[in-house]
Amino acid sequence: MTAKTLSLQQIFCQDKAVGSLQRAFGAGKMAHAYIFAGPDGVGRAMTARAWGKMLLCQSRVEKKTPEGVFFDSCGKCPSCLLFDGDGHPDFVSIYKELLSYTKEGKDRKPPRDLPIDVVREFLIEKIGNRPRMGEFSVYVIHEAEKLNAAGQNALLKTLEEPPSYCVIILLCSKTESLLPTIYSRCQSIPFGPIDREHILTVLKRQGVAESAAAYWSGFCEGSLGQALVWATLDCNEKGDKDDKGGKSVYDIKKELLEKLGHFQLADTIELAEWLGQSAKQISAALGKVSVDVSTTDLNRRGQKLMIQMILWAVSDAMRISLGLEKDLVNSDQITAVKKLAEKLDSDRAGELVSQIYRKIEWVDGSINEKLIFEGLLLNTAGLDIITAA
Amino acid sequence: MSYTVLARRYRSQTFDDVVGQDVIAQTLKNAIQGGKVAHAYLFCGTRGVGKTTMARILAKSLNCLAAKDATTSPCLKCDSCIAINAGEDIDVVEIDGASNRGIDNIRELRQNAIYRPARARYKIYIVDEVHMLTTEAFNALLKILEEPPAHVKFIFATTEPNKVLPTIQSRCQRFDFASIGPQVIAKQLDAILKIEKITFEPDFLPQLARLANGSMRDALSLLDQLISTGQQPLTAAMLEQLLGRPDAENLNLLIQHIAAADPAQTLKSIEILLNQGQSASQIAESLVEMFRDMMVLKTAGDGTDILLLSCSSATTLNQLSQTFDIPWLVFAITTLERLRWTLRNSETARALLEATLLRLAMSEHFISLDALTEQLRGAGGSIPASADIKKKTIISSGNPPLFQAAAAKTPAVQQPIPSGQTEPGSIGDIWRQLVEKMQAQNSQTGGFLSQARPGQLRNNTLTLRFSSPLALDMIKKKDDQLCSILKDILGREITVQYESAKPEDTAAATQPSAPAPAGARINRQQQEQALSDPAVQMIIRGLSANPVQIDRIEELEPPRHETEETDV
Repeated sequence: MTAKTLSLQQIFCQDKAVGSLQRAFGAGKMAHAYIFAGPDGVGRAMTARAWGKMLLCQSRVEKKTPEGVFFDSCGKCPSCLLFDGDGHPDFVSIYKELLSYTKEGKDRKPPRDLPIDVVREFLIEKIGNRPRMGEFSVYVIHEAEKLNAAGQNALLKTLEEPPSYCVIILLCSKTESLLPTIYSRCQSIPFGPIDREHILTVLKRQGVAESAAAYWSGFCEGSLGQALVWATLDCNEKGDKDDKGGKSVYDIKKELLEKLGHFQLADTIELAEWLGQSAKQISAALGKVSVDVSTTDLNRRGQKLMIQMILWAVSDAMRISLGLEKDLVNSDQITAVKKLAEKLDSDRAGELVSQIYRKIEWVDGSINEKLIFEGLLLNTAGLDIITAA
Repeated sequence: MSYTVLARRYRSQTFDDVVGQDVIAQTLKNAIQGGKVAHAYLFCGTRGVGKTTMARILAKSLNCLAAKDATTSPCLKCDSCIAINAGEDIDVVEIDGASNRGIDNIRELRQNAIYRPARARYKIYIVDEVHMLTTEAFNALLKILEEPPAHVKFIFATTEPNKVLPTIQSRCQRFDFASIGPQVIAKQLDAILKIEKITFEPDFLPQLARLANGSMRDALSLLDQLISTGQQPLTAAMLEQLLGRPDAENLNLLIQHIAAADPAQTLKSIEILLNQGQSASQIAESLVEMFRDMMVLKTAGDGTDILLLSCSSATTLNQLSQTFDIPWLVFAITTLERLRWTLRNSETARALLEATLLRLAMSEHFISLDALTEQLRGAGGSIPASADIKKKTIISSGNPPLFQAAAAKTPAVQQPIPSGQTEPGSIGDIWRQLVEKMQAQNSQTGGFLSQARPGQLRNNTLTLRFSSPLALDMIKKKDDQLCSILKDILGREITVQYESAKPEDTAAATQPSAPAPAGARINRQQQEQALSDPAVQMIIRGLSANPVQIDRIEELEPPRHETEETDV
C-alpha cells in the first residue's frame, strides 16, 4: 500500500471516471455500489482510496470548476490523517490474502480465488456496523473478478440493499466474470488505459533508460502498474553463471528479438529452451519482490511475459507489412522486426497472433512449458502441426 | 446517504403494478381470492424481472392487518405492510439464501417455524437466491416443506432453478418469470421519468430499454447512473458515454474503415475506443451487435420489428450495411464471436483485437456464386472491382472460368463466329492447331491459351476473348510466340487482339445438355477424367492446390464438365 493516499485532484488520466463520480456526488445521487472496471495497473485502487478519503474527510474542500463543483479531501483533518496512516476504521479493503485472518483460515495456503469466508467475515458481517467517525463507511473489494460463484452470490443481498451509509466499490479487471446479478446491482465506472506518453514520463522519472521505457510503455497497454513492475525488475540471480551485472527484463527482450529476427525452423528446440530459461529467470526475480504468491502463479507470469514479447514482435511485424510504421511497440529494434516482417505477410502474422493467444491460454491450462514454447516457435516458422483446428 | 436508487424506490407495491408479469400476478390473485394459496412457491427468472417484488407483494397480501383475511389489494399503510416493504417484519422473514446457505441456518429456521406468528395470519419465509443453499440444507428443508404447520408459507426466489433439487421443486408451485420486453420496459421508464420530472430525448428510451436486456432493475440502474450526472435532457449519447459502451459514432467509423479496408485508420479507431476505457471484449460485443443488426436489416428489410432501433441509428445502420453482403456479415459475426471467447480469458487483448479486425478489414468480402453471376450478367464483362462491394472470393462450389475453358476446348460447343470478312470454316481448325502447338512449346502458356475463345479472324487480325484476366495477362506477354505460331499455321503475318469475354458469350457457350442433377455422385472414371482435363490440371499445378471434391454442374455436358472445389 502506498504510504500517502493521493487526493482526487492528483489522480491522472482518469478524468472521466473521477468526473462521473464527482457529478453523482455533487447531485446527491451517489450509488451504494460501484464497479471500477478496467485493466490492472491503471489506477483503480488508487482512485478508490482517494475517493474514500474524500468521502470520509471531515472538512471537504470544494472547488468550482467549469463542469461543476469538485470535491476533494483536505488532507489535514483527523480523518485524513488517519487515512494516510492506513488506519481509518471506516475504510475497509477486502482482498484475497485476508484469508489467513479469518476464523478458520489460519494455516490455509494463499488462495487463487477471493474466498467466500473473507467476503462474509470482512464485508457482510461488518456492514451493519455504523460508521465510527463520519457519515460513510467505504468497502473496497480488490480483484473482484476472482470472486467465485459462491462468493458473488453471498454478496448479492448486501449489494442490493446495503445500509444507507455504505459505499461498496468492486475493483474488477474482467467484468465478464461477474454474475449478471452482481453487475445489475452496481454502477459501472470504466477506467481507460493510461497514455503511453504518461507512462513514459513516469518510467523515466524512475530512472528507466529511454529505450526501455519506450518499450514498456507500449508493451503494457496502458497499465502503469505493469510497466513499473517489468521495467524495474532485476533478473540478476546471485548464482547466475553468466553474471553480466544488472540484467533487466528489457535485456532479455532485446536478446529475444535478435534471435527472432534470425529465427529458422532448425533453431526451434534451442530457442524454446532459451525461452524456458528466461521465463524461469523472470519468475525467480518476481518471486523476490512479491510475497504470498504461489510458485505456479509466478512461473505462469514469467511464461506469459515471454509469450507476450513474441506477440508484440509479431504484431509489429504485421503492422510493418501493412505499411504502418507508427506507434510500434518494438520501435527500438525496428531492424529485427523488419526481418521478421519479411517472413510474415500481414495475413500470416494476423493468424499467428491468434495462435499466440491460444498459447497464452495453454499456460493457464497447465500445459508443459516446453510444449508451449516449441509449439509457438513452430507456428512462427509456419508449421501448424500442433495447432488444434 | 438519503438517496435511494430508483430500482428500490419504484419497486412495485401491488399485483397490478408489477410490470410484464401479468399472468403470474393474475394466478396469484386468483389463488388468494379462492382461498387456495399453496404453502410453498418457487419463483424463477433472470435478474430484475420481479421475483423478490412479487414475493413481498404476496407476503403483504397474506398478512395485511387492515383486511380480515388474505387480500389481493394490501393496504400498504398498516404496520405489517410497511415492515414488509422494508424487509424487517417480524412474521415475514427474508433470508439471504446465498450467505445463509448451510444446514445450521435451515435447522434454525425449522426450530423457529413451529412458533405461531406474532401479529399476522401467517409466518412467511422468503428465501432469496435459494439456489445457493447446500445440498444438505436443501435436504433439511424437505420435511418441513412437505407438510409445514398451517401458519407457515415459504416463498423461494432464484435465478437458477436448475440448481434447486427436484425434490424441492416438486413440493413447490413453480412460477417462471419471463424477461420483460423492451417495449414494456420503455413504457415503465417513461412513466418513472415523468414522475421524476426528468426530460429526455425520444431516441433515448429505446436504447436504454434495449441495453437493459429484459431486466427492469438493469434499466433502472442505468437510468440512475444517467440521472446522477445531473444533466438534462437525457440523450442516447450520454448513455454510451457514461455506461462505458463504445459510442456509436466511433464504432460506425471503425466499421467504415473495415469496409474500406484501410488498416491504418482501422487501428486508429481501435485505439480511440480502447482509450475511452472500453475493454476489448466490449468492443467485440458491440461490433457483433452492429453486424447482427445489419444482417437483420438486410434480410428482413426496413421497417422490421425484430429490431428496436431509434430512427437515426436505423438510417446509419442502413447506410453502413450497403457496404457488406450477408455472407460477409455472417463471417464477421462468427469470427468476432470466436474472438470474444478468447478475449474473455486473456488479460492483454489488444494485439488480438487489432489482428482480428485487421484481418477482417483486409479479408475480401465474400459473395455468393448466384450474386456473382447476376453481376456478371448485368455489368457487361469484367468483374466490377470498383463497385461498393469489395473484391470477391467465390465461396460457392465451382469456378466459372474453369468450365468455360473446358467448354471452349470442346469443338462440339464451338459457337458460330459472327459474320464479316472471316474464314469461318477454318477458324476451329486453326484454333485447335494453335493451342496444340502452343502446348507443345510451353505447357503453361498452352493451358492459359486454352482458356481463351477465338473470336473472329478478320483483316489478318485474330480476336481472342478471355474470361479470366489472369490468362489474358499471361498470353499478352507471350504475344510474339503466339504470332509466330500463327504465322506457321496460316503462312502470313497475323496480329492478335485481346478482349475480355463478354458475359453473354460465355453464358451462351454453355449449351443446354442432358440434365444431370447438380452435385450428383460421379464415378471414379468420371473423376479421373475431370482431373485429367488440362484446364483443371493447370489450376492444380499453378496454384499448388489439392482437389477436395468433384461435383457435376447441372448445365454442363457430363462427364467432361466437372468443377472442382480446390483447397489451396
